[in-house]
Amino acid sequence: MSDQAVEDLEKRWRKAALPFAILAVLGKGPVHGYGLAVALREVLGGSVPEGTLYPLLNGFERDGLTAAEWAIQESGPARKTYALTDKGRAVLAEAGDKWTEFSRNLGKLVK
Amino acid sequence: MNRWTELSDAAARAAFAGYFAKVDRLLAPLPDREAAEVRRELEQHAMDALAEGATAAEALERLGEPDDFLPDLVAETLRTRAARSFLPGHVARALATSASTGLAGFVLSSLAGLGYAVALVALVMGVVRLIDPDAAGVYRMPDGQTLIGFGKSPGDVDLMGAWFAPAAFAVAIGLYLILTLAFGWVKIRKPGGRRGK
Repeated sequence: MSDQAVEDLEKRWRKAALPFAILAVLGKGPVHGYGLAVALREVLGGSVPEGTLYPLLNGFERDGLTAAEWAIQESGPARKTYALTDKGRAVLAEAGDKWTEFSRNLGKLVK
Repeated sequence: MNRWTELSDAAARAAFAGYFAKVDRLLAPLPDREAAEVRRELEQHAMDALAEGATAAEALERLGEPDDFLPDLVAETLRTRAARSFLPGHVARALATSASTGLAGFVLSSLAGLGYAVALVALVMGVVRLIDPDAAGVYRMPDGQTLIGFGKSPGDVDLMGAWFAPAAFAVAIGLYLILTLAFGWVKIRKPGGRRGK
């Protein structure tokens, strides 16, 4: 029973962290959808269907935080690759500071 | 192998065919080019999972149910398109699609629809006023109350006169533009999918 409750809580915070986690991965360099999912898998576990990344990426693009382009591969099909814009980098930097502060404060509460 | 149609396993092909038939149905409201791009991306995602060693069932399960994430993407894309083009057809399609994406989308579309109805009434009032000066206006009634409406009754005083029609058009156009911009840029974010899996 308590295991289930813990699992539910964990799922919730993983989902809530998803938009920030996407920006953080993109902050390391341009990546396509599947690459993003792989990078997020370790952080977010299997609790978030990978298809849900695409509406979020679409929203980021609409808000000017990311830019996407179809990159031609040397072998294989073209892939849509996402990268942070200057605005996206600024948002990530500011959100990163806030996340660190939030995480520290939450850690104090938990201990 | 680049396409799932090239899979040798018939069961895997059938699983992909079923999944992407659902994807196509959900993407149907989008312009063809955008729908094709989203589909291509999802196909590539699943093919990458297969190349990594996942089975067809695992690859599709990792992507998740299309019903859980595509309606939001489609509705948001259509709202953005409406806010950029201001075309009534795009607005109508965005309203209809957003209304079917859950309670928040339904409420949003209903409120926006109500606003558009007011804009339409203002437009109609302006037009009928041009045709017949007594057909619509702002009137002070004999009991002192002020009324915006159709049809001047005996004893009513027309407060705006010839200014009513241009004012009605300005209200209709202004409301349409503001609503379309606001409707287009509003965010309904559900990070974990519509059913919160």
